[in-house]
Amino acid sequence: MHIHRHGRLEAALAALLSVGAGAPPAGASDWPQLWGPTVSAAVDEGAPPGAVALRELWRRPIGSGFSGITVKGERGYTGESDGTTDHAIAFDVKTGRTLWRAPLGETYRGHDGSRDGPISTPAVSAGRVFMAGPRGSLIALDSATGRVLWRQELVSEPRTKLPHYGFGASPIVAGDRVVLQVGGAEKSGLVAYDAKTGAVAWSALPSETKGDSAGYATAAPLTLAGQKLLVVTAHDRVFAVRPEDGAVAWSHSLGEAEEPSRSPLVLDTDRVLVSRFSGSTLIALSPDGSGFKATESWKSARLKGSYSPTVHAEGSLYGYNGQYLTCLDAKTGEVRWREKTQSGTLIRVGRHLVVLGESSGVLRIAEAASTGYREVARATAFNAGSQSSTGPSYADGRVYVRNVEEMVAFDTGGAAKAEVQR
Amino acid sequence: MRTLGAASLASLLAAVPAGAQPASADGGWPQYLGPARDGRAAQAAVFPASGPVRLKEAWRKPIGVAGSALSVLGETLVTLDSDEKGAGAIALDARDGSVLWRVALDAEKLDEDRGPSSTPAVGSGLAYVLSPGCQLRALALADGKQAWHVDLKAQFGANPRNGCASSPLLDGERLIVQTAAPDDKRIVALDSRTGALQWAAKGIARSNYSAPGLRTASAREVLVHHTDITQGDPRGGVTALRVEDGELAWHHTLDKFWSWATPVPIGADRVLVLTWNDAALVKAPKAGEAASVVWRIPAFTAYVATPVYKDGHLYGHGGDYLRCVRVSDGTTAWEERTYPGSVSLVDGNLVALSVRAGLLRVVEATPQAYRERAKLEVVEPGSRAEVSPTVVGRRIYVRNDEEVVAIDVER
Repeated sequence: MHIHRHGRLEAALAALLSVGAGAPPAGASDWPQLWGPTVSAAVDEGAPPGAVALRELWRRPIGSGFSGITVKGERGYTGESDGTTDHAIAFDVKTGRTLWRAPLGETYRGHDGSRDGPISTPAVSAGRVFMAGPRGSLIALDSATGRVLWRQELVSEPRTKLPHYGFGASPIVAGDRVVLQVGGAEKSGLVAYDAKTGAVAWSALPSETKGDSAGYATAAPLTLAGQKLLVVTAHDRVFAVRPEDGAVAWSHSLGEAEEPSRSPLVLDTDRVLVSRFSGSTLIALSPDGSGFKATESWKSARLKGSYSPTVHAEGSLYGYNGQYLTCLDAKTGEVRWREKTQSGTLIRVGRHLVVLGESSGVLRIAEAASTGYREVARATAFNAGSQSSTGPSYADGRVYVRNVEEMVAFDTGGAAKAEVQR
Repeated sequence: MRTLGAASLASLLAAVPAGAQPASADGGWPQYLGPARDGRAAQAAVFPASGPVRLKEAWRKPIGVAGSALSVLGETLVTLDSDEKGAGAIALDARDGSVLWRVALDAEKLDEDRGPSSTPAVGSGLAYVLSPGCQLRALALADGKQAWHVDLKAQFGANPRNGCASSPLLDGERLIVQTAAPDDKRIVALDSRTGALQWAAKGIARSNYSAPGLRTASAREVLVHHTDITQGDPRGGVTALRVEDGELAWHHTLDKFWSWATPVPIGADRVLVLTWNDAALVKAPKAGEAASVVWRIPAFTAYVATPVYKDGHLYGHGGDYLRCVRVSDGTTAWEERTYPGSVSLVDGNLVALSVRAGLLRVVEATPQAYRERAKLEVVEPGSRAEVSPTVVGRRIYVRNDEEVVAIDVER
C-alpha cells in the first residue's frame, strides 16, 4: 500500500519533469507546410509514453480537395472546392470554424479517378500563406485576413506544363523565397519567387522530363556541411540547390525519367531517401572537392506503390509498400517487419506513428518500434469507403485529418495532460 | 439440378432481354460478370418478395492476393490468387470453402501488391485461366489437371505492359480471348475443348486489359472495348465482331475514351460503354447504317463492374454514388452515396458490394427510390474487394485481397 502510493507520486513527478525539462513543451509546435516543419513528416515531440489517446475535438464538413492541413498558432489552412470555385481557407484550430476563404479559380474537376478541388498544401510563414491552385496559380495571402498580396500564373511560363491531374506541387518557404517544383515538356526543377513581391528570383531546371509535366513533389530542407540547401526529386534526378540563388550544389541521376510525386526524406545531415514508383533508394552524400558526391547505399522494392511519406526514427524507416506498413533498417534497407494495415498515409509524432487509412476511415496510433507493429490508439475519422488520401497533420498535441468530405481534429492526450499540470 | 416452377420460369424469362437465350438456372456464375456477361444472375426466388432480407455468413476462407472474381459451376468455385512464388489458379468447394486444388501458374509480370486480375471461366468440366504472363490454360474442374495450354505470347505476340489481365469469354464451345497483342490477333476464338484456333480478328484497335462482352439480341456478336492512350488524347470505342467468324459487324469511335471496361448489351439494340469519367449508350446499327451515341453521361464510371439493366433502367456506380438511370434519356432517377462499388442483378434486386468499405447491400431494383433491404460488413473496411458479387442459388460469394466469403440469403 505504502509502496504503491510512493510509486504513483514518482510517476506524477516524472511526468511533470518530462514536460518541464527533457521534452520540448507541448504547445510550441506548428505544422507550417506539407509534411511539417522539416518536410520529413515527423516532429520530435508528442505525448509521453502511456498517455496516448485519440479524443475527437471537433468535426466539420469540407469541400472536395486533396490539400493537406497546415497549422500556425491558432489558425489552420487548407484548400477546398465549394462545387464551383476552388479556395484556400483558414480555420480556427479550436473549433474548425472557417475564418476566411480566398478564391483560387474555377473548380478543377476530378477525372480518371481523381477528385474535384485543390491538391497542393498551403505553406505559411511570417504572416503570409502561399497556395498553388490546381490550374497553376500561385497566390500569396495575408494569413490573418486572406487578402491577396500577389499572384503568379505558373502555366503562363513556357517552362511549366500542367500535370495530368492538375497542379499539385506544394510550396516551401526558405528565408525570403517561396520555392515550387515546376516542369515543362523538356526540363523540370525548381522555381523561386520573392515572398514579399512574387517576383521570380531564380529557376533551376537540371532535369529532363521527356515530354512529361511539372510533377507533384515538394522540396525539403537539407543542411550539408553547414550549408543550408533544398533537395528535390525531379524526373530523372535528385538534386539540391542553394535557396538564395538556385545554384545546384549536387545532382544525382536516377535513371529513366518518371513524373515525381514524393518529397525526398532527409534522414540526417548526409543521407537522403528517394522514393519512386518502382522502389526507394538511399543516397549518401560526402564532400568532393568544392562540391558533394552522391553514392547509392541501397535500393529496395519494399517501399513503393504509395503516396504516403516514409518517416525515420532511431535507425529505422517506416513507410508504405502497397497495403503493407513496412519497417526497414535505414543502414541496410533490410525489412525488419511488415504489417498488412491496408493502404494509408502516415506521419511520425515523437515515438509514435499516426496513420490514416486511405479508405477504411480509421485513424490509428502505433509505436514507432523496430521490433514490430503495436497499435496503441484508434478512432473512426471518416466513413468507411470514402477516399481519404490526404495525410494527417500534427500541431500542439492535436492531430488534424481531412478527406474529400470532412475535417476532424483529435487530441492525442499528451498535450491536454501537460496543460492541466501547468 | 434445380427444378423451376412455372412461376419462377416465367419471371426468369421476363428478366432477360428479348431475343437473348436465357442461361440455364444450373449454369451457376461461370465467368466474369455472370452467365451472359452482363452482371445478371439467371435464377429467381432468391429473396423474399418484400421486407428486409437477412444475410448470414456461411463460410470464410483465407486466399492469396488477387483482383480476380469468383466463378462457380456446380459445387466448384474457381478464381486466381498469388503467393510468394507467383500467380495460381485455385478451386474451392463452394459448400464449405475447403481447397480442392491449386495450380501454380507463372511468376511473370505479377504485381505483388495487386496480384492477378483475370477472372477464370468455367464450363464443360474445365476451368479456363489466363495468367499475368499470358499463358492460357484449360484445367480439369475436378482435379486441376491441364487439358490444354496456349502461349498467347508465342502464338499471338501478346505483351501488355502490366501483364495479361483480360477475362476469357465462354460462349458454348468457343472461348473468346482478348490477347493484348500489339497488332492483329487482338481477339481470338479458340475451341474450348482443344484450344485450337477458330479465328483471329483483323484490323481492330488496341484493347489491352478489357474483357470482351457478348451481344445475343439480333445477332451473336463479340463486343470489344478499345482504348488507345499512346496517341495523346485517348481515343477508343466499341467494335462488334460476328461470333462465328470474327468478321467486323460494326464499330463506333469516341473521343476522350479511356478505361478497361466491358461493353454490356442493353435491351435489343443498344450497348453501354464506360470510361473512367462517364458512360455512353451506343445504338447498334441495322445493316447498312452507322452506329450512333444515344447519350453520354457522367452518372456512371468504369471501375470494377458495369451497371446492370432492368426494365428500362440501369443501376450501377459512378464515383461515390450508386445510381438508377433511365435508359430513355440518361437522367438519374435516384442516387445514394454508398462509395465506389460493384453491383449484380439477382431476382429483381441489386446485390451491391462497396469495394473499399467492406459492406454488402441488397437494394430493391426499382426506379421509385433507393430501398435498402440488407446491409452486412463482409470484409475488413479499407481492404480491396475489387470484384462484383457472384450469386448462385441463395448464396452470395465475394472476395477481397485476403479472403473469400460465402453469405447465405436466409428464408
